[in-house]
Order: sequence, then C-alpha cells, then structure tokens
Amino acid sequence: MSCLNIKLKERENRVLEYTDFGDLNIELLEGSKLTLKLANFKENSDIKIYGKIGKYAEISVVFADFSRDFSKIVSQIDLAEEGAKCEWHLATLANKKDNKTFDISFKHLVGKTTSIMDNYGVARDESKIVFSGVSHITVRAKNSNAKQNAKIIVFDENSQGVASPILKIDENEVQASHGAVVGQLNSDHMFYLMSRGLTQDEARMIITLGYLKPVSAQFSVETQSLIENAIKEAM
Amino acid sequence: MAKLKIEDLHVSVKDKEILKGLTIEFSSDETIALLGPNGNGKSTLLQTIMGNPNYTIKSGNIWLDDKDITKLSVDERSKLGLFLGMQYPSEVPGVNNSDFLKSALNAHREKPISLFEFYKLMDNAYKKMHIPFEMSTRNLNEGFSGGEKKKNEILQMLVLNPSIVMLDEIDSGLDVDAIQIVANVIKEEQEKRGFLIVSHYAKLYDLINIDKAVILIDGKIAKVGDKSLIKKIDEQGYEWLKAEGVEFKKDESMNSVSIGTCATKEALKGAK
Repeated sequence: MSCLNIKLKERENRVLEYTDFGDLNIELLEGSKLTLKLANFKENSDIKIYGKIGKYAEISVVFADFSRDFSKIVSQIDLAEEGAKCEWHLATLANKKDNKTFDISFKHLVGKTTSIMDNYGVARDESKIVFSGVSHITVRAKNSNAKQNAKIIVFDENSQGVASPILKIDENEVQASHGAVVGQLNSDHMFYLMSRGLTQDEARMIITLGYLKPVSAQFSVETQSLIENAIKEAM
Repeated sequence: MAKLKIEDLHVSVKDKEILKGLTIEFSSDETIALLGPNGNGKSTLLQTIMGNPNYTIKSGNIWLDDKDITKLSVDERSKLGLFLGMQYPSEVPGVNNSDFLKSALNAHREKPISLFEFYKLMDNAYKKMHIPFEMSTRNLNEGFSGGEKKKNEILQMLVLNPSIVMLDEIDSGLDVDAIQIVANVIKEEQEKRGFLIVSHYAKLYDLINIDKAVILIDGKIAKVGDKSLIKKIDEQGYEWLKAEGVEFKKDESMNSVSIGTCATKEALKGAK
C-alpha cells in the first residue's frame, strides 16, 4: 500500500479515522490540530509513521492494533517547532503466535514541546508484544515535557511482554517521566467476576475489553464494533 | 430450599493451616451470624465456600444439597446459587457496572434477559439500595467510596437472586444511614434466601433476624447459640470462652476494630 500524506494548513483542525492504511507521512503547520484514529486489523503489518509537528500545532494519535501474525509499527514524530505537542495512545491485543513490535519515538527539537505516550497491551497464548522507542529531548529543547507509560498484561505462561521505554535527555530544565508495567492478570479481579457467574473466558474477555477501552472508546461506533468483534474472536 | 453442608474442612493458605476441621450446616431459610476474633478463619471459610483458588482445601467437603461442590469452579458455584458479598470488592477498570451486571445475570439464565426486563430489575435494585441510577454507567467499583462499594455488593445480590448469601463484613465502611438501608434490604430478603453474615459489630445483627450465632475460633466452630450470644460478645468480648475450655490466641497485633482476611494475611506474612 502506498504512503498516505496528510498535511494540515495553518490553524486547520481535522479528525481522521482509518481502518485500512499503510505508511503515513504527516505534516502539521502552525496552530493546526489533528486527531488521527488508526485501527489496524491486517495480517503481517509493517507500517512506518513519520510526523513533523509545527509551531503550536497538536497531534493526537489513537491507535488500536488488532493485527495478526507479525507486526512491526515504527513511528517517529518530530516536535519541530516551539509549542508542538503530540499525544500517542495505543492499545494492542496479541494472541496465538502473534509477534508485535511497536517502536514509538519522539524527538523534541526545540523548546516548550510536549510528548505524551500511553501504550497498553494484552498478550495471550504464545504471543509476544514489545514496546520500545525513545523520547529524546535534544539540546535547545528547554522547558519541554515528555511522558511515557507502558503496560502489558500477560495472560498465559507462554505469552511474553517487553516494555522498555527510553528517555534520552540532552537539555536541562525539562520534565520527563516514564513508567512500565508487565504483569499477569489480576487474580482478585478474576475471582470477583467469576464469583458473579462469569466463566474464566468471559471474565478474561470483560477485563480485556475494559483494559483496552480508553483507546477503543475514542473510535466511531462502527469501528468500535469491529474492535469488539476482534477482541471476541481473539479471546 | 437449598442446604449448605461443610464437613470436616481443612484449609490452608501458603501451607499455613487456617481451617482445622470445620463442620457446619445451614439452609436457605435461616440466617447465621458468624463471629470470632480476628485471624481465626471467618473470611477464609467464606472465600473457600465461594471457591477462591488462593485457599487450598487439604481435606473435607462442601455440599450444596446433594451435590459435592468442593471441586467446582467459582462460576459454577455462583450459578448454583451461592453469593459472596466481599469485604474488599475489586475495582475493575474499564468494566461498566451495568454491562457487567447484565453479563453476570445472563450467565445465570438460559435465555438472555430483555433490555426492558433488565432495566426494570436494575431500577428496582438501585431504588432499594438508595443508589443513584447514574452510577450504573460508572466502572465497576472504580472511584466508589467504601460505603458505595458495599451497597453495590448488596445491589448485585438483589439482581443475581442467589439462594445462599455470604456477607463478609458488609457493614464496615457504611455510615449510620447506609447500615440501616443494608439491614432493611437484608431483612426483606431473609424470607427468600439464607444468609451467613460475618460482622464485628452487634449493630447490624440487631437490625436483622438472627436464627443462630456461631463462634469460630482457631479454624473450628467453638460455640453455637442464639442471638443472646452476640450480645454477650459485644459486652464481654471473647475472653470468657477460655473459662469454658475454649483455647485460642488473640491476635494482639490487631486492634479491636481491625478487620480483614486476617488469618490469610498472617499466613502470607509467615510465608515471606
């Protein structure tokens, strides 16, 4: 699939939603705002996203990944001018022998820029999820703010989750934080739900739907229903 | 009428034995007050009856009517009519209260409930519990106060309609008005189902009908009596039982209002 170019003019506001897409090349000019909703249901995805965010422009990426088999998503967003901001929210579900890597990076090239990243994953069966990427605050990027948060629930003995968010800071007077959690399903939650009559599979599904909801709830009703079906099928 | 029978139950947590040969029987037409000092196995008994996998049954059996449920899964026990109102209800992120209740209710039925029927059932339960109906759209127990969580447990009981209800310190975290609401609902429901109620306070027991008071000490039933037993414990504590030959060690590390699955906590502490 050919690369899709998205360019927003100065002070332009747009909300775009795609369920079938390949590489993306994004450019946001001064004061523009883009909400980009991406739902990926493909087999064997190899997707590259590049973004350049201009002066006081903002991009919010909501990425729901229900791709199958092998997936490699690489995203590099450059916060190129003062006041540029990027929010990135990803939810992914891996099952069977899926192998998924998400390499999500931000480069703060100038001051007063902001990047916020939340990655959520559920790995079951023999699948593997890797969250990696670098939030790089370069020299000259004073008063910038970078936050990274990665969480993976590992359902089964043979499923794997790797979360390794990296902060690279070359400037003083910045704010930066990162957190990563890889853990098993909360056994208290399972007991609680099952004590109300839900089977183990139903309880797992309801927890997964809830866990991925902060991202899935952002999509249109049609896409939400595709997401729900993808979760049900995977569970 | 459903009948629950526990036979010579030995239960361990992390290799520490907590229930040490407990035998008790009760049916869905009676209400039992289950009393005992902290750390003697009350919560362990309730969790074990419900099938919590953290509690290992070393020997003994649990019967519901003529069915041995000792090895049944948690959800199967729920479907047979058991309900446990938890001491610490879980907060489950992203799971909508009403969606969850509908799924739970449908798990107990052959045919899914119609939207209209479900709405009526929920509306009635929320009114009875004096909980604003808007709370049905919130995530399960997430951000609920202690009292709201406990009232939500009773609300789930009303919706799921079990035959035997176990309530583990349902009154902790409730203010005076909320205790009255919970007690009124229990009292109304006593006609329809059996209750096994753990509480450290006489207040709740005073507000409902009690058929039997049972004292659990050191993993066994130490004494069975009527409602007057609750009054005696409320006034005198448990020390007088020693004069009657009941031996037990009171957990001094916990104050008089300390609550919790204390025997379990102790076992886990020892395992570290």
